[in-house]
Amino acid sequence: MKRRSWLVRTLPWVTTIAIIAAQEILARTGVLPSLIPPFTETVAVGWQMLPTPEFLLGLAQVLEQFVIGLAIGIVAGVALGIVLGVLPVVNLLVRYVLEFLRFTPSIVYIPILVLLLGARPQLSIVLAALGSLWPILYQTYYGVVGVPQILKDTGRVFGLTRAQQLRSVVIPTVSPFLATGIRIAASHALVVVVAVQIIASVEGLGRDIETYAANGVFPRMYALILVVGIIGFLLNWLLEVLERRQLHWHASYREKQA
Amino acid sequence: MSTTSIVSAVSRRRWSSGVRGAALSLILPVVIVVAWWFVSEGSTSPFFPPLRVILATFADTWLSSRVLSDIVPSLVRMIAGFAIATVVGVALGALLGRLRLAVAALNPILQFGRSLPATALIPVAVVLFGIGDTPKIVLIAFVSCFPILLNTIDGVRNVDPVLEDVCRSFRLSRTQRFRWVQLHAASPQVIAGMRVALSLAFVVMVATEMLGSTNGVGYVTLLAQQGFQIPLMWSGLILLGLLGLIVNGIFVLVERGLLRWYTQGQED
Repeated sequence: MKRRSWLVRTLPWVTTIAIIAAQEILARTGVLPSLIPPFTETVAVGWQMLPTPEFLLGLAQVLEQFVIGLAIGIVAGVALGIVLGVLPVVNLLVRYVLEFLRFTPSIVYIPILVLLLGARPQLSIVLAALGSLWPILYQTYYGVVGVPQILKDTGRVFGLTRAQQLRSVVIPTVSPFLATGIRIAASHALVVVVAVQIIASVEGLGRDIETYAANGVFPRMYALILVVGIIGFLLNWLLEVLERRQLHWHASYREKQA
Repeated sequence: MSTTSIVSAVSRRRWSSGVRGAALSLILPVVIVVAWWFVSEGSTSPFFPPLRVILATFADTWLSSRVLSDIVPSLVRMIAGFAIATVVGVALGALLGRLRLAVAALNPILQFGRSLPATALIPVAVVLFGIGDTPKIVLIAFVSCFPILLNTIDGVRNVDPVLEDVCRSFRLSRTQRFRWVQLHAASPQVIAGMRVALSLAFVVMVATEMLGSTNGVGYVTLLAQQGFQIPLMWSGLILLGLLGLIVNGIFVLVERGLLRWYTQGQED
Protein backbone atom coordinates (compact mmCIF):
# COMPACT_ATOMS: atom_id res chain seq x y z
CA MET A 1 0.00 0.00 0.00
CA LYS A 2 2.80 2.37 0.87
CA ARG A 3 4.57 1.61 -2.39
CA ARG A 4 1.41 2.36 -4.27
CA SER A 5 0.95 5.82 -2.74
CA TRP A 6 4.59 6.57 -3.56
CA LEU A 7 3.87 5.55 -7.13
CA VAL A 8 0.74 7.71 -7.28
CA ARG A 9 2.73 10.69 -6.06
CA THR A 10 5.64 10.40 -8.49
CA LEU A 11 3.80 9.11 -11.55
CA PRO A 12 2.27 12.49 -12.58
CA TRP A 13 5.75 14.03 -12.60
CA VAL A 14 7.22 11.14 -14.55
CA THR A 15 4.56 11.20 -17.27
CA THR A 16 4.57 14.98 -17.56
CA ILE A 17 8.35 15.04 -17.94
CA ALA A 18 8.14 12.14 -20.40
CA ILE A 19 5.59 13.96 -22.57
CA ILE A 20 7.68 17.14 -22.54
CA ALA A 21 10.80 15.11 -23.40
CA ALA A 22 8.96 13.40 -26.25
CA GLN A 23 7.87 16.77 -27.64
CA GLU A 24 11.46 18.01 -27.35
CA ILE A 25 12.87 15.01 -29.24
CA LEU A 26 10.16 15.05 -31.93
CA ALA A 27 10.74 18.77 -32.53
CA ARG A 28 14.55 18.47 -32.57
CA THR A 29 14.57 15.51 -34.95
CA GLY A 30 12.26 17.32 -37.34
CA VAL A 31 9.28 14.99 -36.98
CA LEU A 32 7.16 17.95 -35.89
CA PRO A 33 7.05 20.86 -38.36
CA SER A 34 9.46 23.73 -37.70
CA LEU A 35 6.43 25.82 -36.73
CA ILE A 36 6.49 23.99 -33.40
CA PRO A 37 9.73 24.77 -31.52
CA PRO A 38 11.10 22.33 -28.93
CA PHE A 39 9.84 22.86 -25.39
CA THR A 40 13.20 23.99 -23.99
CA GLU A 41 13.45 26.68 -26.66
CA THR A 42 9.97 27.98 -25.80
CA VAL A 43 10.85 28.05 -22.11
CA ALA A 44 14.23 29.69 -22.75
CA VAL A 45 12.60 32.40 -24.88
CA GLY A 46 9.93 32.86 -22.24
CA TRP A 47 12.58 33.13 -19.52
CA GLN A 48 14.36 35.87 -21.47
CA MET A 49 11.07 37.73 -21.93
CA LEU A 50 10.09 37.58 -18.26
CA PRO A 51 12.05 40.62 -17.00
CA THR A 52 11.33 42.81 -20.05
CA PRO A 53 9.03 45.80 -19.47
CA GLU A 54 6.85 44.83 -22.48
CA PHE A 55 6.09 41.45 -20.98
CA LEU A 56 5.43 42.78 -17.48
CA LEU A 57 3.16 45.47 -18.89
CA GLY A 58 1.21 42.93 -20.95
CA LEU A 59 0.87 40.66 -17.94
CA ALA A 60 -0.32 43.53 -15.74
CA GLN A 61 -2.85 44.53 -18.41
CA VAL A 62 -4.29 41.03 -18.67
CA LEU A 63 -4.56 40.71 -14.89
CA GLU A 64 -6.00 44.19 -14.44
CA GLN A 65 -8.74 43.74 -17.04
CA PHE A 66 -9.50 40.27 -15.75
CA VAL A 67 -9.73 41.26 -12.07
CA ILE A 68 -11.85 44.37 -12.61
CA GLY A 69 -14.18 42.58 -15.03
CA LEU A 70 -14.63 39.61 -12.74
CA ALA A 71 -15.22 41.84 -9.70
CA ILE A 72 -17.96 43.75 -11.52
CA GLY A 73 -19.47 40.47 -12.71
CA ILE A 74 -19.51 39.04 -9.18
CA VAL A 75 -21.12 42.09 -7.59
CA ALA A 76 -23.75 42.46 -10.31
CA GLY A 77 -24.40 38.71 -10.51
CA VAL A 78 -24.88 38.29 -6.76
CA ALA A 79 -27.17 41.32 -6.57
CA LEU A 80 -29.32 40.22 -9.51
CA GLY A 81 -29.35 36.59 -8.36
CA ILE A 82 -30.64 37.59 -4.93
CA VAL A 83 -33.33 39.85 -6.43
CA LEU A 84 -34.52 37.08 -8.76
CA GLY A 85 -34.46 34.51 -5.98
CA VAL A 86 -36.35 36.64 -3.46
CA LEU A 87 -38.91 38.18 -5.85
CA PRO A 88 -40.49 35.46 -8.05
CA VAL A 89 -42.50 38.10 -9.97
CA VAL A 90 -39.34 39.81 -11.16
CA ASN A 91 -37.98 36.42 -12.18
CA LEU A 92 -41.12 35.68 -14.22
CA LEU A 93 -40.91 39.09 -15.87
CA VAL A 94 -37.30 38.93 -16.97
CA ARG A 95 -36.67 35.20 -17.45
CA TYR A 96 -37.10 35.05 -21.25
CA VAL A 97 -34.88 38.09 -21.74
CA LEU A 98 -32.21 36.59 -19.48
CA GLU A 99 -32.45 33.21 -21.21
CA PHE A 100 -31.86 34.92 -24.53
CA LEU A 101 -28.93 36.95 -23.24
CA ARG A 102 -27.23 34.18 -21.27
CA PHE A 103 -26.87 31.96 -24.35
CA THR A 104 -25.22 34.77 -26.30
CA PRO A 105 -21.48 34.49 -25.63
CA SER A 106 -20.13 37.87 -24.61
CA ILE A 107 -17.55 37.98 -27.43
CA VAL A 108 -20.49 38.32 -29.81
CA TYR A 109 -20.78 41.93 -28.62
CA ILE A 110 -17.22 42.77 -29.71
CA PRO A 111 -18.25 44.48 -32.98
CA ILE A 112 -20.80 46.88 -31.49
CA LEU A 113 -18.71 47.63 -28.41
CA VAL A 114 -15.63 48.36 -30.51
CA LEU A 115 -17.71 51.10 -32.13
CA LEU A 116 -18.99 52.45 -28.83
CA LEU A 117 -15.93 52.09 -26.60
CA GLY A 118 -13.04 51.69 -29.03
CA ALA A 119 -10.30 49.07 -28.72
CA ARG A 120 -9.48 50.08 -25.16
CA PRO A 121 -9.20 48.16 -21.87
CA GLN A 122 -12.78 49.16 -21.03
CA LEU A 123 -13.92 46.89 -23.87
CA SER A 124 -12.44 43.75 -22.36
CA ILE A 125 -13.49 44.77 -18.83
CA VAL A 126 -17.13 45.18 -19.90
CA LEU A 127 -17.12 41.88 -21.79
CA ALA A 128 -15.35 40.00 -18.98
CA ALA A 129 -17.93 41.35 -16.54
CA LEU A 130 -20.72 40.23 -18.85
CA GLY A 131 -19.14 36.81 -19.36
CA SER A 132 -18.77 36.22 -15.63
CA LEU A 133 -22.20 37.63 -14.79
CA TRP A 134 -24.24 34.61 -15.92
CA PRO A 135 -22.68 31.77 -13.90
CA ILE A 136 -22.67 33.96 -10.78
CA LEU A 137 -26.25 35.12 -11.31
CA TYR A 138 -27.66 31.64 -11.85
CA GLN A 139 -25.65 29.99 -9.08
CA THR A 140 -26.73 32.70 -6.62
CA TYR A 141 -30.32 32.31 -7.77
CA TYR A 142 -30.28 28.51 -7.35
CA GLY A 143 -28.67 28.96 -3.95
CA VAL A 144 -31.26 31.45 -2.75
CA VAL A 145 -34.19 29.44 -4.12
CA GLY A 146 -32.73 26.24 -2.70
CA VAL A 147 -32.67 27.31 0.95
CA PRO A 148 -34.70 24.47 2.51
CA GLN A 149 -38.05 25.54 3.96
CA ILE A 150 -37.30 23.67 7.18
CA LEU A 151 -34.17 25.75 7.74
CA LYS A 152 -36.11 28.97 7.20
CA ASP A 153 -38.86 27.80 9.57
CA THR A 154 -36.33 26.74 12.18
CA GLY A 155 -34.70 30.13 11.98
CA ARG A 156 -38.05 31.80 12.49
CA VAL A 157 -38.98 29.54 15.42
CA PHE A 158 -35.72 30.43 17.12
CA GLY A 159 -36.69 34.08 16.70
CA LEU A 160 -33.70 35.05 14.57
CA THR A 161 -33.69 38.61 13.33
CA ARG A 162 -33.53 39.21 9.57
CA ALA A 163 -29.82 39.91 9.75
CA GLN A 164 -29.25 36.75 11.79
CA GLN A 165 -31.31 34.70 9.32
CA LEU A 166 -29.23 36.04 6.49
CA ARG A 167 -25.98 35.30 8.33
CA SER A 168 -26.77 31.84 9.67
CA VAL A 169 -29.28 30.45 7.17
CA VAL A 170 -29.11 32.09 3.76
CA ILE A 171 -25.37 32.76 3.35
CA PRO A 172 -24.26 29.26 4.43
CA THR A 173 -26.69 27.68 1.94
CA VAL A 174 -25.80 29.98 -0.92
CA SER A 175 -22.01 30.03 -0.49
CA PRO A 176 -21.18 26.61 -2.00
CA PHE A 177 -23.28 27.50 -5.05
CA LEU A 178 -21.58 30.87 -5.27
CA ALA A 179 -18.12 29.31 -4.95
CA THR A 180 -18.84 27.10 -7.97
CA GLY A 181 -20.20 30.13 -9.81
CA ILE A 182 -17.06 32.14 -9.13
CA ARG A 183 -14.83 29.29 -10.33
CA ILE A 184 -16.75 29.02 -13.61
CA ALA A 185 -16.95 32.80 -13.97
CA ALA A 186 -13.21 33.26 -13.47
CA SER A 187 -12.33 30.90 -16.29
CA HIS A 188 -14.97 32.52 -18.55
CA ALA A 189 -13.57 35.97 -17.76
CA LEU A 190 -10.02 34.91 -18.62
CA VAL A 191 -11.16 33.36 -21.91
CA VAL A 192 -13.02 36.55 -22.79
CA VAL A 193 -10.17 38.92 -21.86
CA VAL A 194 -7.70 36.95 -24.00
CA ALA A 195 -10.21 36.73 -26.87
CA VAL A 196 -10.88 40.47 -26.85
CA GLN A 197 -7.16 41.21 -26.80
CA ILE A 198 -6.53 38.86 -29.72
CA ILE A 199 -9.54 39.82 -31.85
CA ALA A 200 -9.87 43.54 -31.14
CA SER A 201 -6.18 44.28 -30.35
CA VAL A 202 -6.89 45.57 -26.86
CA GLU A 203 -3.57 45.95 -25.03
CA GLY A 204 -2.31 42.91 -23.12
CA LEU A 205 -0.65 39.51 -23.58
CA GLY A 206 -3.42 38.36 -25.94
CA ARG A 207 -2.57 41.11 -28.41
CA ASP A 208 1.12 40.25 -28.07
CA ILE A 209 0.36 36.60 -28.88
CA GLU A 210 -1.46 37.66 -32.02
CA THR A 211 1.32 40.10 -33.00
CA TYR A 212 4.00 37.40 -32.65
CA ALA A 213 1.83 34.94 -34.58
CA ALA A 214 1.25 37.41 -37.41
CA ASN A 215 4.97 38.17 -37.64
CA GLY A 216 6.09 34.56 -37.47
CA VAL A 217 7.88 34.84 -34.11
CA PHE A 218 6.58 31.45 -33.02
CA PRO A 219 8.78 30.68 -29.97
CA ARG A 220 7.60 33.94 -28.40
CA MET A 221 4.01 33.17 -29.32
CA TYR A 222 4.21 29.76 -27.63
CA ALA A 223 6.01 31.22 -24.62
CA LEU A 224 3.19 33.71 -24.05
CA ILE A 225 0.53 31.02 -24.52
CA LEU A 226 2.38 28.98 -21.90
CA VAL A 227 2.27 31.98 -19.57
CA VAL A 228 -1.47 32.49 -20.15
CA GLY A 229 -2.00 28.77 -19.55
CA ILE A 230 -0.07 28.97 -16.28
CA ILE A 231 -2.22 31.93 -15.23
CA GLY A 232 -5.34 29.86 -15.87
CA PHE A 233 -3.88 26.87 -14.05
CA LEU A 234 -2.85 28.88 -10.98
CA LEU A 235 -6.21 30.63 -10.93
CA ASN A 236 -8.10 27.33 -10.90
CA TRP A 237 -5.84 25.95 -8.22
CA LEU A 238 -6.10 29.07 -6.06
CA LEU A 239 -9.89 29.16 -6.25
CA GLU A 240 -10.15 25.48 -5.42
CA VAL A 241 -7.90 25.88 -2.38
CA LEU A 242 -9.82 28.94 -1.18
CA GLU A 243 -13.12 27.16 -1.73
CA ARG A 244 -12.00 24.15 0.28
CA ARG A 245 -10.65 26.32 3.09
CA GLN A 246 -13.71 28.56 3.31
CA LEU A 247 -16.22 25.77 2.98
CA HIS A 248 -14.50 23.02 4.97
CA TRP A 249 -17.59 22.75 7.17
CA HIS A 250 -19.87 21.91 4.22
CA ALA A 251 -20.91 18.29 3.67
CA SER A 252 -19.73 18.08 0.06
CA TYR A 253 -16.23 19.20 1.06
CA ARG A 254 -15.88 17.23 4.28
CA GLU A 255 -15.53 13.95 2.46
CA LYS A 256 -12.71 15.13 0.22
CA GLN A 257 -10.58 16.10 3.19
CA ALA A 258 -10.98 12.84 5.03
CA MET B 1 -65.80 14.56 -6.98
CA SER B 2 -64.10 11.53 -8.46
CA THR B 3 -60.32 11.17 -8.37
CA THR B 4 -59.89 11.76 -12.07
CA SER B 5 -61.80 15.03 -11.99
CA ILE B 6 -59.71 16.22 -9.02
CA VAL B 7 -56.55 15.33 -10.90
CA SER B 8 -57.74 17.10 -14.01
CA ALA B 9 -58.81 20.13 -11.98
CA VAL B 10 -55.40 20.30 -10.34
CA SER B 11 -53.59 19.88 -13.63
CA ARG B 12 -55.86 22.47 -15.23
CA ARG B 13 -55.05 24.93 -12.47
CA ARG B 14 -51.34 24.21 -12.79
CA TRP B 15 -51.62 24.60 -16.55
CA SER B 16 -53.47 27.92 -16.31
CA SER B 17 -50.94 29.31 -13.81
CA GLY B 18 -48.22 28.17 -16.21
CA VAL B 19 -49.95 30.03 -19.02
CA ARG B 20 -50.28 33.13 -16.85
CA GLY B 21 -46.58 32.86 -15.98
CA ALA B 22 -45.64 32.52 -19.62
CA ALA B 23 -47.83 35.50 -20.51
CA LEU B 24 -46.16 37.55 -17.79
CA SER B 25 -42.74 36.47 -19.05
CA LEU B 26 -43.61 37.54 -22.58
CA ILE B 27 -44.39 41.13 -21.55
CA LEU B 28 -40.80 42.33 -21.27
CA PRO B 29 -39.48 40.82 -24.53
CA VAL B 30 -42.43 42.35 -26.41
CA VAL B 31 -41.97 45.71 -24.68
CA ILE B 32 -38.25 45.70 -25.54
CA VAL B 33 -38.82 44.93 -29.22
CA VAL B 34 -41.67 47.45 -29.56
CA ALA B 35 -39.72 50.14 -27.71
CA TRP B 36 -36.64 49.43 -29.82
CA TRP B 37 -38.72 49.68 -32.98
CA PHE B 38 -40.34 53.04 -32.13
CA VAL B 39 -37.44 54.72 -30.34
CA SER B 40 -35.00 53.83 -33.13
CA GLU B 41 -37.43 54.68 -35.94
CA GLY B 42 -36.36 58.29 -36.30
CA SER B 43 -32.75 57.56 -35.36
CA THR B 44 -30.09 59.28 -37.38
CA SER B 45 -27.22 57.96 -35.23
CA PRO B 46 -24.91 55.90 -37.43
CA PHE B 47 -24.41 53.37 -34.63
CA PHE B 48 -28.09 52.79 -33.89
CA PRO B 49 -30.03 52.44 -37.14
CA PRO B 50 -33.82 51.94 -37.02
CA LEU B 51 -34.84 48.38 -36.14
CA ARG B 52 -36.89 48.36 -39.36
CA VAL B 53 -33.67 48.77 -41.37
CA ILE B 54 -31.89 46.08 -39.33
CA LEU B 55 -34.69 43.59 -39.87
CA ALA B 56 -34.86 44.40 -43.57
CA THR B 57 -31.12 43.76 -43.81
CA PHE B 58 -31.60 40.56 -41.84
CA ALA B 59 -34.14 39.31 -44.37
CA ASP B 60 -32.04 40.40 -47.36
CA THR B 61 -28.81 38.81 -46.19
CA TRP B 62 -29.18 36.06 -43.60
CA LEU B 63 -32.39 34.66 -45.01
CA SER B 64 -31.14 34.45 -48.59
CA SER B 65 -27.66 33.87 -50.03
CA ARG B 66 -25.81 33.89 -46.72
CA VAL B 67 -27.62 30.82 -45.42
CA LEU B 68 -25.41 28.61 -47.56
CA SER B 69 -22.32 30.79 -47.68
CA ASP B 70 -22.06 31.61 -43.96
CA ILE B 71 -24.69 30.15 -41.63
CA VAL B 72 -24.26 26.56 -42.77
CA PRO B 73 -20.43 26.63 -42.63
CA SER B 74 -20.57 28.10 -39.11
CA LEU B 75 -22.95 25.44 -37.87
CA VAL B 76 -21.13 22.61 -39.64
CA ARG B 77 -17.84 23.57 -37.99
CA MET B 78 -19.40 23.81 -34.58
CA ILE B 79 -21.32 20.56 -34.86
CA ALA B 80 -18.34 18.69 -36.34
CA GLY B 81 -16.01 19.92 -33.61
CA PHE B 82 -18.56 19.17 -30.91
CA ALA B 83 -19.23 15.69 -32.31
CA ILE B 84 -15.52 14.83 -32.41
CA ALA B 85 -15.12 16.14 -28.87
CA THR B 86 -18.04 14.04 -27.67
CA VAL B 87 -16.80 10.81 -29.26
CA VAL B 88 -13.20 11.30 -28.12
CA GLY B 89 -14.16 12.62 -24.70
CA VAL B 90 -16.60 9.82 -23.87
CA ALA B 91 -14.39 7.03 -25.26
CA LEU B 92 -11.21 8.26 -23.61
CA GLY B 93 -13.04 9.18 -20.42
CA ALA B 94 -14.68 5.76 -20.13
CA LEU B 95 -11.30 4.12 -20.62
CA LEU B 96 -9.42 6.37 -18.19
CA GLY B 97 -12.20 6.18 -15.63
CA ARG B 98 -11.33 2.51 -15.18
CA LEU B 99 -7.57 3.12 -14.91
CA ARG B 100 -6.91 5.04 -11.73
CA LEU B 101 -3.16 5.14 -12.19
CA ALA B 102 -3.43 6.42 -15.75
CA VAL B 103 -5.66 9.29 -14.62
CA ALA B 104 -3.22 10.15 -11.84
CA ALA B 105 -0.38 10.03 -14.35
CA LEU B 106 -2.12 12.29 -16.88
CA ASN B 107 -3.71 14.60 -14.32
CA PRO B 108 -1.25 17.54 -14.68
CA ILE B 109 -1.66 17.56 -18.47
CA LEU B 110 -5.46 17.30 -18.22
CA GLN B 111 -5.65 20.08 -15.64
CA PHE B 112 -3.41 22.33 -17.72
CA GLY B 113 -5.44 21.67 -20.86
CA ARG B 114 -8.65 22.41 -19.01
CA SER B 115 -7.41 25.69 -17.51
CA LEU B 116 -5.68 27.05 -20.61
CA PRO B 117 -7.91 29.88 -21.92
CA ALA B 118 -9.18 28.39 -25.17
CA THR B 119 -9.06 31.59 -27.14
CA ALA B 120 -5.28 31.93 -26.65
CA LEU B 121 -4.94 28.96 -29.03
CA ILE B 122 -6.66 30.63 -31.99
CA PRO B 123 -3.40 32.08 -33.37
CA VAL B 124 -1.75 28.65 -33.03
CA ALA B 125 -4.57 26.99 -34.94
CA VAL B 126 -4.21 29.56 -37.71
CA VAL B 127 -0.41 29.17 -37.80
CA LEU B 128 -0.58 25.37 -37.95
CA PHE B 129 -3.65 24.78 -40.11
CA GLY B 130 -4.29 28.01 -42.04
CA ILE B 131 -7.64 29.76 -42.28
CA GLY B 132 -9.93 27.04 -43.67
CA ASP B 133 -12.36 24.78 -41.83
CA THR B 134 -9.67 22.50 -40.37
CA PRO B 135 -8.17 24.87 -37.75
CA LYS B 136 -11.62 25.83 -36.53
CA ILE B 137 -12.93 22.28 -36.24
CA VAL B 138 -9.69 21.10 -34.59
CA LEU B 139 -9.76 23.92 -32.08
CA ILE B 140 -13.46 23.52 -31.29
CA ALA B 141 -12.95 19.77 -30.83
CA PHE B 142 -9.83 20.22 -28.67
CA VAL B 143 -11.34 22.84 -26.41
CA SER B 144 -14.74 21.23 -25.90
CA CYS B 145 -13.19 17.81 -25.34
CA PHE B 146 -11.95 18.63 -21.84
CA PRO B 147 -15.23 19.12 -19.97
CA ILE B 148 -16.68 15.96 -21.54
CA LEU B 149 -13.53 13.95 -20.83
CA LEU B 150 -13.20 15.04 -17.21
CA ASN B 151 -16.89 14.58 -16.47
CA THR B 152 -16.91 11.13 -18.07
CA ILE B 153 -13.90 10.05 -15.99
CA ASP B 154 -15.67 11.28 -12.88
CA GLY B 155 -18.97 9.67 -13.82
CA VAL B 156 -17.53 6.26 -14.66
CA ARG B 157 -15.48 6.30 -11.47
CA ASN B 158 -18.39 7.04 -9.21
CA VAL B 159 -20.68 4.26 -10.36
CA ASP B 160 -22.58 2.93 -7.37
CA PRO B 161 -20.51 0.01 -5.95
CA VAL B 162 -23.71 -1.98 -5.37
CA LEU B 163 -24.40 -1.81 -9.11
CA GLU B 164 -20.93 -3.15 -9.78
CA ASP B 165 -21.58 -6.03 -7.40
CA VAL B 166 -24.88 -6.81 -9.11
CA CYS B 167 -23.05 -6.91 -12.45
CA ARG B 168 -20.58 -9.37 -11.03
CA SER B 169 -23.33 -11.58 -9.61
CA PHE B 170 -25.05 -11.65 -12.98
CA ARG B 171 -21.72 -12.38 -14.66
CA LEU B 172 -22.04 -9.58 -17.16
CA SER B 173 -19.14 -9.45 -19.59
CA ARG B 174 -16.88 -6.41 -19.63
CA THR B 175 -18.54 -4.95 -22.71
CA GLN B 176 -22.02 -5.60 -21.35
CA ARG B 177 -21.08 -3.98 -18.09
CA PHE B 178 -19.65 -0.99 -19.88
CA ARG B 179 -22.51 -0.56 -22.33
CA TRP B 180 -25.45 -1.20 -20.01
CA VAL B 181 -24.26 -0.15 -16.59
CA GLN B 182 -21.25 2.14 -16.44
CA LEU B 183 -22.08 4.36 -19.37
CA HIS B 184 -25.70 4.53 -18.31
CA ALA B 185 -24.85 5.42 -14.71
CA ALA B 186 -22.36 8.05 -15.86
CA SER B 187 -24.67 9.63 -18.43
CA PRO B 188 -26.03 12.50 -16.27
CA GLN B 189 -22.49 13.69 -15.69
CA VAL B 190 -21.44 13.08 -19.29
CA ILE B 191 -24.36 15.16 -20.49
CA ALA B 192 -23.57 17.92 -17.98
CA GLY B 193 -20.07 17.99 -19.47
CA MET B 194 -21.53 18.09 -22.97
CA ARG B 195 -23.63 21.12 -22.06
CA VAL B 196 -20.51 23.02 -20.92
CA ALA B 197 -18.71 21.82 -24.04
CA LEU B 198 -21.48 23.04 -26.32
CA SER B 199 -21.35 26.59 -25.02
CA LEU B 200 -17.53 26.50 -25.32
CA ALA B 201 -17.88 25.23 -28.89
CA PHE B 202 -20.16 28.15 -29.70
CA VAL B 203 -17.74 30.70 -28.21
CA VAL B 204 -14.78 29.20 -30.07
CA MET B 205 -16.77 29.06 -33.31
CA VAL B 206 -17.50 32.79 -33.15
CA ALA B 207 -13.97 33.67 -31.99
CA THR B 208 -12.24 31.65 -34.72
CA GLU B 209 -14.45 33.31 -37.31
CA MET B 210 -13.54 36.75 -36.04
CA LEU B 211 -9.84 36.04 -36.55
CA GLY B 212 -8.43 34.47 -39.69
CA SER B 213 -11.52 33.46 -41.60
CA THR B 214 -13.14 33.95 -44.98
CA ASN B 215 -16.74 33.13 -44.13
CA GLY B 216 -19.09 32.43 -41.25
CA VAL B 217 -21.55 34.47 -39.19
CA GLY B 218 -18.86 35.81 -36.85
CA TYR B 219 -16.68 36.80 -39.80
CA VAL B 220 -19.47 38.69 -41.59
CA THR B 221 -20.52 40.45 -38.39
CA LEU B 222 -17.03 41.70 -37.53
CA LEU B 223 -16.32 42.62 -41.16
CA ALA B 224 -19.58 44.59 -41.31
CA GLN B 225 -18.43 46.61 -38.30
CA GLN B 226 -15.04 47.26 -39.84
CA GLY B 227 -16.67 48.19 -43.16
CA PHE B 228 -19.15 50.40 -41.33
CA GLN B 229 -22.18 48.44 -42.59
CA ILE B 230 -23.89 48.94 -39.26
CA PRO B 231 -27.34 47.40 -40.06
CA LEU B 232 -25.59 44.25 -41.26
CA MET B 233 -23.54 44.15 -38.05
CA TRP B 234 -26.67 44.47 -35.91
CA SER B 235 -28.46 41.77 -37.87
CA GLY B 236 -25.41 39.52 -37.38
CA LEU B 237 -25.56 40.11 -33.62
CA ILE B 238 -29.25 39.21 -33.58
CA LEU B 239 -28.57 36.10 -35.62
CA LEU B 240 -25.76 34.97 -33.28
CA GLY B 241 -28.08 35.48 -30.30
CA LEU B 242 -30.81 33.43 -31.99
CA LEU B 243 -28.37 30.67 -33.00
CA GLY B 244 -27.11 30.41 -29.42
CA LEU B 245 -30.66 30.16 -28.17
CA ILE B 246 -31.70 27.54 -30.77
CA VAL B 247 -28.62 25.36 -30.31
CA ASN B 248 -28.95 25.37 -26.53
CA GLY B 249 -32.72 24.88 -26.76
CA ILE B 250 -32.30 21.76 -28.92
CA PHE B 251 -29.70 20.44 -26.50
CA VAL B 252 -31.97 20.95 -23.50
CA LEU B 253 -34.79 19.07 -25.26
CA VAL B 254 -32.51 16.16 -26.16
CA GLU B 255 -31.14 16.15 -22.63
CA ARG B 256 -34.61 15.99 -21.13
CA GLY B 257 -35.49 13.05 -23.34
CA LEU B 258 -32.28 11.17 -22.57
CA LEU B 259 -32.34 11.77 -18.84
CA ARG B 260 -36.03 11.25 -18.18
CA TRP B 261 -35.25 8.11 -16.16
CA TYR B 262 -32.80 10.08 -14.02
CA THR B 263 -34.92 13.14 -13.20
CA GLN B 264 -37.98 10.96 -12.58
CA GLY B 265 -35.98 8.84 -10.18
CA GLN B 266 -34.98 11.94 -8.28
CA GLU B 267 -38.52 13.25 -7.98
CA ASP B 268 -39.85 10.02 -6.46
